[in-house]
Amino acid sequence: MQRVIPTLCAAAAVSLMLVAPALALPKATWVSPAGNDTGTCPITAPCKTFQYAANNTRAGGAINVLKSGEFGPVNIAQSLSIIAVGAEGAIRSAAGGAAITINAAGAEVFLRGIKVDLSGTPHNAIQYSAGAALHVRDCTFTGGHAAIKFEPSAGTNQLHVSNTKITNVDAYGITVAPTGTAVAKVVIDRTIVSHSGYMGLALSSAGGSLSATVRESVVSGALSFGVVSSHFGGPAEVMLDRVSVANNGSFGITSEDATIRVGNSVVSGNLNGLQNPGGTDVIASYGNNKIVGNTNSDGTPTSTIPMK
Amino acid sequence: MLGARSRCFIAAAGLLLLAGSAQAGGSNQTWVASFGTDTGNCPQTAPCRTFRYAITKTPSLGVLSVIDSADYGPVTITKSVSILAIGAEGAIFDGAPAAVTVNGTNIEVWLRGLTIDLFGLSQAGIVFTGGSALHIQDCTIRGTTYGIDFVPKGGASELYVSDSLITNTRTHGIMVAPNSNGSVKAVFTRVHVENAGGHGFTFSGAGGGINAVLNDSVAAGNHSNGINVQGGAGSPVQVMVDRSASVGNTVRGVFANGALVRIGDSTVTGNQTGLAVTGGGTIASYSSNKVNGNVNDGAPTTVSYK
Repeated sequence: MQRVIPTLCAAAAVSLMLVAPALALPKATWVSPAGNDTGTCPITAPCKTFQYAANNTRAGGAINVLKSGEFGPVNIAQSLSIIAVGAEGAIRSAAGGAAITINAAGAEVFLRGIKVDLSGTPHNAIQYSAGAALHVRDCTFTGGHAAIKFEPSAGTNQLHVSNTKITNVDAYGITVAPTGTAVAKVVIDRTIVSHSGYMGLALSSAGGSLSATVRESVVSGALSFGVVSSHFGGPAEVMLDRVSVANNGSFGITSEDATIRVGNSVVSGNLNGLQNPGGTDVIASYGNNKIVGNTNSDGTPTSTIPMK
Repeated sequence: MLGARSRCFIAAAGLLLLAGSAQAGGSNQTWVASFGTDTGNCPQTAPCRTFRYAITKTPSLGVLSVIDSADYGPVTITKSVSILAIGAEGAIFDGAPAAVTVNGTNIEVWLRGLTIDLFGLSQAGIVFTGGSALHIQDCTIRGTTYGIDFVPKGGASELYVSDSLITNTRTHGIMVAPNSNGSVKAVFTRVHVENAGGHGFTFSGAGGGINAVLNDSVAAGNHSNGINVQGGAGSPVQVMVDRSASVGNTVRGVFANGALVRIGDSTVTGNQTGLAVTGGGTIASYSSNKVNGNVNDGAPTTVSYK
């Protein structure tokens, strides 16, 4: 008996452990074009849409793409990862105005390998209204109104974009506009934004405040503006480091009362290079940029600042 | 981008060469697949299901490859081996004692293409406590305590991380802290550490010496220091930061505490304090850094030209 009782206790403990997770949603779910939207999307019975899988993944969990397919729009209401590695995780339609909607205070969202094509529609690929951090890695965006619309209204919000390509959107490649008390901290690295219908990067403090770094990236071929930063309300500070701003239809870099610092960068082939009409517009140069070959005017930085 | 791809290709070619002699014998290459089962020797025709099992069938200097995307579970590595996930998601969603543990003597380990997410569990992503070298390439690590915890117990160890992303760790993204009598050489190339609960990159010479290089890497939005370098115990700790960025971190961009940081062609902005030293630490600048837009920019302690 002395040996049986611990065994029974252990068995009871094990059965409790087995039962407990069954009550909760899984942390990892899977989607496949051959899947069905039933159950909790294990790898052995994958689901068919991102939205169903998102509804059946634990907060903080991950939806994984098993095989290439189109998985439809998704409204993300909690911390979540969507990961497509070695397969194409495509979205070709929107719901409520966006392919991916993020509106969940405090949420950490990670998107990897997602391909959004909204060509011919007026919708946004990503509409971020609330959260804590959005990480976009190895993604591609084509068509639609804007690829990433980052518009928090409260709290500190991080946007990290790396190894990503944005082409042929109708209006904005990436637009950042924190309102109210929101703080936006943005890093864009090794990202190409080409052929935007209006602006490549529109980085504004729309009442909130903005600190953005763009590095090792390309903003080219926008019909109007390459990089624009606007200061409305709180401070708007933008650092451009090793960025090529080329072949944009009106201006390469524009400051509207914002502080833009530019180093080791190229501004060339635009109709006009730098636009800083005066007043409190700042485009400060570290004195090591190639600002040349713009059609009408290269423009001049408002100041040259020392490196350290 | 092309440069990165070229380097990936060269690295992959090197791995294939490494694997070539093994494949010729037919037994040094093992495979795992979502449809596999943990029996036999894991040949491509009968793949296994978990890294934990397949590693026991992979001999020293062998290669364990992923056939298709799946969660292959945590693994402890005690011999020289490569784990490769190319064109598939080699996921590890559980971590006891860590998602990947490397602990051997004079072993060299390659990890490529792994997706590690521990969803806030109390374990680290990759823990290294013994070996001669660890190579991490094309990996993502999330939701762990430390992303990479490189704490060799002794001897000389090397860490190479490239094209990898570490986000949302509960504590530091990357921790390098050799124990006493150990020493570390580390190189980080195109590595991002984003939104870590502690420091982004942290180096501690409390035990042994460290010589590290950050190249084209980013520490951003971390909740303590972006790049945190601490000396100690008389061990030299020196970190070279080149063409990198430490931005938007809650406390300091670059912090040298009794240690030496050299920094060139890099960006430090959006932090509470940009550059800071204490305890006799040095930040030596090549006068080519963009240090503006921090609440307090700070300044390098010395300027180095060559």
